[in-house]
Amino acid sequence: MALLQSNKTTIDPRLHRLLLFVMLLAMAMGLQVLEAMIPPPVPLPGIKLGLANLITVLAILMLGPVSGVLLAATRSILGSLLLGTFLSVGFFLSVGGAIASAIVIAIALKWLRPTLSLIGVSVLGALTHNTVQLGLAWVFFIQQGVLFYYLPILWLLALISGTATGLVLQAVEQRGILTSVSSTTMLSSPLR
Amino acid sequence: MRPIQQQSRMQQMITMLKQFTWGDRFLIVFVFAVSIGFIPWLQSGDPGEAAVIQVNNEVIATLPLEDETQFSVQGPLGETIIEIKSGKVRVLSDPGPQQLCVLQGWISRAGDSLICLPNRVVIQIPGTPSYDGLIK
Repeated sequence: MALLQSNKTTIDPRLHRLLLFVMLLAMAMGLQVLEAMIPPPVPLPGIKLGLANLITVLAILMLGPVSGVLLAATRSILGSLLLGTFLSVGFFLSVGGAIASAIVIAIALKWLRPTLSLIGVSVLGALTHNTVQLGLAWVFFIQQGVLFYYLPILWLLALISGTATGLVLQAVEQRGILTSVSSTTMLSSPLR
Repeated sequence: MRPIQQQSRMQQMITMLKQFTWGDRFLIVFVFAVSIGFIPWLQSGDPGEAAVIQVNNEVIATLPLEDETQFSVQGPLGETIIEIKSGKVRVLSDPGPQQLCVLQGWISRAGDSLICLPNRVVIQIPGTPSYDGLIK
């Protein structure tokens, strides 16, 4: 964890950001693969708990909203390569859900933060993740109203996983590991 | 060295709950209430038309659900009494030890079934449940 807190070291801040990004990406992909090992609670492709949202929140807190959304997208694309679901039905749902929930988390962190703690923010992220996945499934794959019968179940699952990841995030924050890295965006100043 | 203070379960629960802001609590309770409110929707399968009663894998009777009758069948353990009333069917009494099919109560949707395994009695409402399209 020393690297995460290294404000005093002489490391290039851009390199610091890149290292953080890659480490978080690896953790997010790990969580995604782990999550895929849990049998789906509902027989629908691509419907997951959304545990990787934990890392999305961390990334947005530490690296800012743009990098956070980028990380969520990269995570779901690279993760699908590991899982062998690249370009499958579930892949599109996963990417869409990940990006949408990252955007909602970024907005919630910026505007709703005193009202909602990290728990509320990650619950919102999980709700968005599941709802957008179902919405995409409806738009692109199965146009049957029956699909929405699963929405309440998905929301209940999102409440559980969102609260769980939120509690983990609170613990991380209380240990003071979270430090946001200087605001040079990785996109605008690439490493040479 | 001071001994590490052990928090009781109760205190742990309280410290955990204190981390939830009012906004968190409102959000969680609201979404929970909405989800629970929509759950009756989940069971909106097509209403069934008849109950098919089998004993030992042989069809004994097919009774239309609009009737209002009691029907008794003889299985290996004894008598199972089936009641049909206003579009629903249930097992009124069964000699099985666990009474699972009695406790299951009324069924009325296509695809539902009541199974009294010890007495080899199976009651089915024929038809496909409406969520079938999803699993295809």
